[in-house]
This record gives sequence, structure tokens and C-alpha cells, in this order.
Amino acid sequence: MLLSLSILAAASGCSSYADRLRDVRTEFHSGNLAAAKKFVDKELPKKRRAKEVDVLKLERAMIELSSGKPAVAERTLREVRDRFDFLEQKALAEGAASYLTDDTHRAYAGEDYEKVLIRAFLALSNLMHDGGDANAYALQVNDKQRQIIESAGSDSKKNPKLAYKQVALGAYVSGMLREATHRDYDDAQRSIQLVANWEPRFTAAKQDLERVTNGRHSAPGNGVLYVFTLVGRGPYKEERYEEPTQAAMLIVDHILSAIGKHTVTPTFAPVKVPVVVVPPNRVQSVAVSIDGKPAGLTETITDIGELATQQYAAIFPHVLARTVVRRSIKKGSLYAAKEFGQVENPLGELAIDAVGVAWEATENADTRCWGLLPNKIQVRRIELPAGTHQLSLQPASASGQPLGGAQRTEIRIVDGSNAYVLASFPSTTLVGKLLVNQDARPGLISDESIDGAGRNRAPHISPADLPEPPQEPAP
Amino acid sequence: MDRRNFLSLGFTALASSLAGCRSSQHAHVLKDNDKDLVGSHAAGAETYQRLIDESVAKLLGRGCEPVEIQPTGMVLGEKKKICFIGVENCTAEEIGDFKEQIYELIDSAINESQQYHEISRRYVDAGLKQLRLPPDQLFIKENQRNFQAVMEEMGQPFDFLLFAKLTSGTTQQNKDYQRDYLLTLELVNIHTGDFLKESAKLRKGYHKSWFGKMFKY
Repeated sequence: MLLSLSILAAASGCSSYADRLRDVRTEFHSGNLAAAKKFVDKELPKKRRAKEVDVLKLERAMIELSSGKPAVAERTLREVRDRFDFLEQKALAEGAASYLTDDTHRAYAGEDYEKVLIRAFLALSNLMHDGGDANAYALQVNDKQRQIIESAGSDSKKNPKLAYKQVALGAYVSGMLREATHRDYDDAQRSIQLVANWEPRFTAAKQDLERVTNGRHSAPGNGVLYVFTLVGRGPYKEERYEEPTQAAMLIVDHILSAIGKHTVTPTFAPVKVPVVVVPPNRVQSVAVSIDGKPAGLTETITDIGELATQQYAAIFPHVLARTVVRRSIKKGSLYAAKEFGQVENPLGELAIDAVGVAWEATENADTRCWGLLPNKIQVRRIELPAGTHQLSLQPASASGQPLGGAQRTEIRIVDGSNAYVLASFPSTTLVGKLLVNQDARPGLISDESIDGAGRNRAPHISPADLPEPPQEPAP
Repeated sequence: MDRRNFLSLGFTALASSLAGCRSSQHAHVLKDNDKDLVGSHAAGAETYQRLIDESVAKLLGRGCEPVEIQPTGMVLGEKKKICFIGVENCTAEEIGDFKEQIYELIDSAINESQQYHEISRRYVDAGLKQLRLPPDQLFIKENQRNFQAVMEEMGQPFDFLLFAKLTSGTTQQNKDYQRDYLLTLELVNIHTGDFLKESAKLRKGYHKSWFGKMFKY
């Protein structure tokens, strides 16, 4: 019993992903991207973190995106997307092993909302980079949602995923890009209709729908600016003791021990389950100003906190059921050991029970999750005359009350085209850089390099633009 | 949650965890004579390719007849200049990445016919963008004149506007349903307003189970 108690104490001291994530979140949310990156880079190569590599890469992708490296972030996200697609297949050996240990020993294939959001962030990263694949990623968002729901069956009583809230960002990006073709208004209308259905609180969808149905992308001589903001600190997982389940199991153990030939390992070790937590957030939106004049607040297109909480609540009974089954298997195997080993004396039974308690105490809740997600993804569409403008973003409360300092940048609007800006405000200060897509960065591209369709022509490269060849090493 | 439900969840959790092995995804290049996969939930290559082949063939067949909507003053044998505006999706399904491909397939098939000279899509897009004209507004006289003027300015005059439209009709029978897909190509002579319309139809049955198909067909 002493042994089991000491193991129980030691096991409870083991650090979980939630504990490690706390440091990264603190550094990231306070704007210390270098420290957050250093922490992730230090953890990634460790062998004992092998099962956490993919989530650590997701954290790294968020750091890369905020640091102004959308192309690098896109590459990382793509890698994790493909890996999650592979891992969502079942594995016999791993499944069996997890019933003898805990869920942290299974490869992590991502929560459903994470699988969808990877594609949403791929679309955003690509928009900030060259935009060539953004529509494909946006279509993948809807596709993945459909796959997830359909794979769980069509019976509404048995499939909790049918009630999942859908991520509207993919449809919004798709509609936005189709509208910018000045031709595929029917597609844009279809996509914006989905946004209106899936995110009824997104009031801008009504105007968008009216515009793509009866209007046009922009007036001649104008272009459109889309300001995307990542607002608030997003959801993460924490370990919780499921006390009612533990108490119920303990009573069952006593009853079985009283009526059985042998005693059953008592459920002294706490039943640990992961739960999704959304921290309180002061920042609820971002006030946008153009050339010193207010241009409105960003509006929520995807509420990640709500999405994660709702989706996790739908699958929580399965998580709990798996935990109970695991305990039952452990108790059953020790009972079988007593039976086969013909353990008759009380001391022998006690020793095996102590081992059992210790075994159960080594379980940890699987708190792996994408911890650097924002609480909300918001957007604001503004039609502006072609030319250079001063953009200012300031975090604000739900009522629009400014909460922190304003961040300014210059943007270049091209006639008939879209420009995109992405900013991250987990709290009252901007984290990292304010990202502006390639075509909208003033000074980088001359007007002559834009063709009639608003696409960039490859700039002329002279020999002087080429990098110096590397110096030959001295003999 | 009642006890029976919880127990069944437990067994499901156990069974699903222990089932199967992971395998890497594989792919192969299809031969020309390999059959297309048939979309189980929506139309796919098996539908669109047939619709395009049939409707384009019909349109080109009609176009061969010299009396059909020939612009006045046009010399016989001269290629008709077509401005293909785009594909409008009016079906009950999202066609996603197929839209661009349908455009390109129709565009290529018509161009290869040697009867028509199609204007590059890049010019068409630039013209629509310059005027901020949604395609459905091209039938307003003034808009059409402006569009023609812009295209001529770019050195791309045209005689015909070509529109493609995808529509669908759904018939439900309990859990199964039949969906009829129709691709319509409409060629409009901008000088006279005469038009020529050709369409191709394909019917598809969707079933919740293999038996659904077996019992119904």
C-alpha cells in the first residue's frame, strides 16, 4: 500500500502537456514570441515528447504566423494536416496499449475542431503569402467538416457530431475569393449563404449576400480591404478529477470484493479526464480606422472557444467511457492474475491490489491540444479607393470601447482587387507583426507590375539583383 | 446518460480502439480506359465529363450548319469569335474545384473544334473587372455595348457570347433519391440577339445502401 501511495504521489507530480503549454501560452500571449519559439524548439526533438510532436508543431505554426512568416507557417500546418489524416485511422496495437496505460500513449490525431481549423489557418496563411492555394484550403474546410460528420454515421441518436457547429471561415474565404473574380457571383452567393446559415450572429453576411446577389465587388476605381483578426486567448485542455465516477467505481469495487472470491483493486487513484477550458477575455473585437477615420469593428466569423467547448461536450461521454473501460480492464486483469496465481492469503491480495492502485495512479488525462489558438477569428470588409491608405487597428471591448494602443500600417489598394491584413490580439497588445498580403504592401510592387486582371506580373530581374556568389574558401 | 447507453458507449470505445491498422495513403495514375469513380454523395468526373462531351458535341454539330445564327457579313468558313463568359452553378450541390475544370474543358473542346475562335479567359476576366459587370448584366444593351467596346480596345472583338449553366432536379423516394443533372450551353449572337441552345442530361441515383440500388434498378 505504501508503494502504491508513493507511486500515486509521484505520478501526480508528472508534468502533463497542459503544464508545459502554460509556459508557451504565457510567453506567446505576452508577445514574447522568441521565448515561446525557443521553448517549442527545445521540446520538439525530445524522445519522450514523441507523441506530442504534432501539437507542438501546431503551436510553432501559430508562432511563425504571428512572427510574419506565413509561408513557413503554411508549410508546418500542411505537414500536421497530412499527419493527422494518417493518424485518424485506427491502430490495433496502440489502441490495446492505451487500455493498459492511458490516452497519452496514443498518437494524437487532433480534435475534430482542430482538424477543421488547420485548414482554415492554412487558408489564412496562404492569403498572407501568395494566395494561390487559399481557395483550395477554404474548400477543404467545408469538405473536412462534412467528412467528420458523415464518418460518425447518419443516425442522429448515435451520432453526436450531427449537432456540431460548422466553421464558417472556409465558406467566407471561398465566397470572398469567388467574388473577386468579378465573374463567379453565383459561387460567391452560395458560399455567403452558407456563412449566413452557419454563423447567424455574423451580421455582415446579410450585406455580403445582398452585394453578391444584386451588386458588384466594388465600384470602379475602388478595391476591397479584408481585415482578419485573431482575438482573445483561445481554448485549451486541463486535467480534471471526475470525482462522481471515482466514487461510483469505488462502491462497485467494494460490492464485487464482498461477493467475489478475490478482492477487486479499489479505485483510490483519481479518475482523470481532460476538459476544454476557455479563459475569460477582455478583448472582444478590434476597431478599424482608415486614414484616421473609424471604419467599424471586426465581427466574429468563427468562435473557436464556443466551437471547441460544444464539440468536446458532444464527445465527452466517449472520453469518460474509455476511461472507465480502461480501469475495468486493469481491475479485471489483476483479478485474473489472482485467480490464475491462486492467491489466497490476504497479504498477497493486498500486495496485488497495491500494485493495481499504483498502476491506475499512473494514468494521466490526455491534455494534448492546439493551445495557441485564438478565441475568435474576426473579419471586417471595407471598400476603399485605389491607392495607399493608413490602416489603424485597436483592440476593443464588445461595446467598441478601446482597450489598448493602436497599431498602424500602410496598405495599398489595387483597383478591383482584394487586399488582406491579419493581426493577432490575444489581449490588449498586438502579438508579433501586423501581416499584409504581398500585393497590398506599399513600395514593394509598382503599378506597372499589375496586369489587367489584378495579378502580379513577375518583376524584371537584372543581374545586379542576383545575390553575390559565395566566396571560395582560401586554400 | 442512462446505464445502458453508457455501457454501449464503453463497448463502442473499446471496439473502435482495437479495430484496424494504420496504412499510408496510396495513389495511381488512371489509364484512359479506366472507369471514373462514381461520386457517392454528389456529381463528379463521371457526370461532368459526359455532360461536357455531349453538350459541346451537340453545339458544334449545330454550329456546322451554315444557316445557324451566322453573323451578317461573315464569310463562310471564317472562324466565329466567341467570348465564353463562364459556368453558372444552379444545382443543389457545391461543385467546388470542378467549376474551373468545367470551364477549361468546355473552353478546350470548343477551341479544338476549329470552327470557333475563343477569346482568352484572361481578357474576358479583365473586361468584366474593368466594367465591374456581373455576367448576368451583360444582356442590358448599354452594358453589352460597353463590354464590346472594352474588348475591342484590348484587340479582342467578338460575335458571340457563350454561357454554360448547370442545373439539377431531385426526386426523393424515402431514403433514396434521384438527381438529374443538366448542362446547358447557350450561344448568343450579340449583333442580332439570336441564340442557340444545346444541353446534355445525366441521371444519377443515390442510395443509402447497396441494396437500395439493387432493389430499385
